Amino acid sequence: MIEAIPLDHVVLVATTLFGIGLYGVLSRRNAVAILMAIELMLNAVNINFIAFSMYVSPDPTVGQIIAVFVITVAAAEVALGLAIVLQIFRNKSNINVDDLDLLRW
Amino acid sequence: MNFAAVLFYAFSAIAIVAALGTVLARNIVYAALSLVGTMVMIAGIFFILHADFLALVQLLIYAGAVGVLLIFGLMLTNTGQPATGPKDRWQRPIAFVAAMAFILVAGYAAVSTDWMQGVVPQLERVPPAVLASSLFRNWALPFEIASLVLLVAMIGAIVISRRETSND
Repeated sequence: MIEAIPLDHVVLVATTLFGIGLYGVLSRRNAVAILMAIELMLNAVNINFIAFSMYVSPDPTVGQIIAVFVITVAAAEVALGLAIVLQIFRNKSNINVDDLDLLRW
Repeated sequence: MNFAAVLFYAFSAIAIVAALGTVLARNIVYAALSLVGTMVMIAGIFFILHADFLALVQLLIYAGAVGVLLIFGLMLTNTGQPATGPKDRWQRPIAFVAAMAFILVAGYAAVSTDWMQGVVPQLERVPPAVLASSLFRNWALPFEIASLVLLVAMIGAIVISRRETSND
């Protein structure tokens, strides 16, 4: 079964996905695209949680339960984030984060 | 190299390509659809890692709910004009360097660490009943707090995104 997959490879995939998400967060300027990149990073972390809980944890349920909590918080985050983005769009007609510099002095 | 390993590497490759599409696509709708594809592939990785329940949750919540929510957000915030041109893209090289630095450092740490330390992995399928009993017994308080977080997020999202009306 999955004994043929070393833990290193799973962690490397998660690392790559997290790095791609990091690039998206830093380089995108559309606020919704930044939220999407954050979701990518959270998913990469979930892969790590599940991989470590399956391979090295004495209790394989803990990692899965923490992954469930991560998914819960991510759902709350994307709902609130989109609500805030929507309100910004109503006020500024624009969700380009470079143009949202109201607090810059 | 058995069937599960082949599937794992295929899912991983597609997930990484779709993730690149998410962060690089100029059309934001393509980016959202690539994100949904990445989520589906990650659900496949969860299946291969024997986390069946998590895989189904991933499909339902990420590929379903979050994908639809993000596409709704894109539709509601559509300015009608294409994305602004490359007027000042100084973030890109910095972002590339930061992401590559993270991948190289964390990847080196992942490869060079002896994770197993002689431990033989169990790799046994956790039945959903065991997961549920652990969630509702040992993790009951975090579970209740998570439900409160969801309630607050739901009410907050409604309050924030509601249009202000004069007759209230």
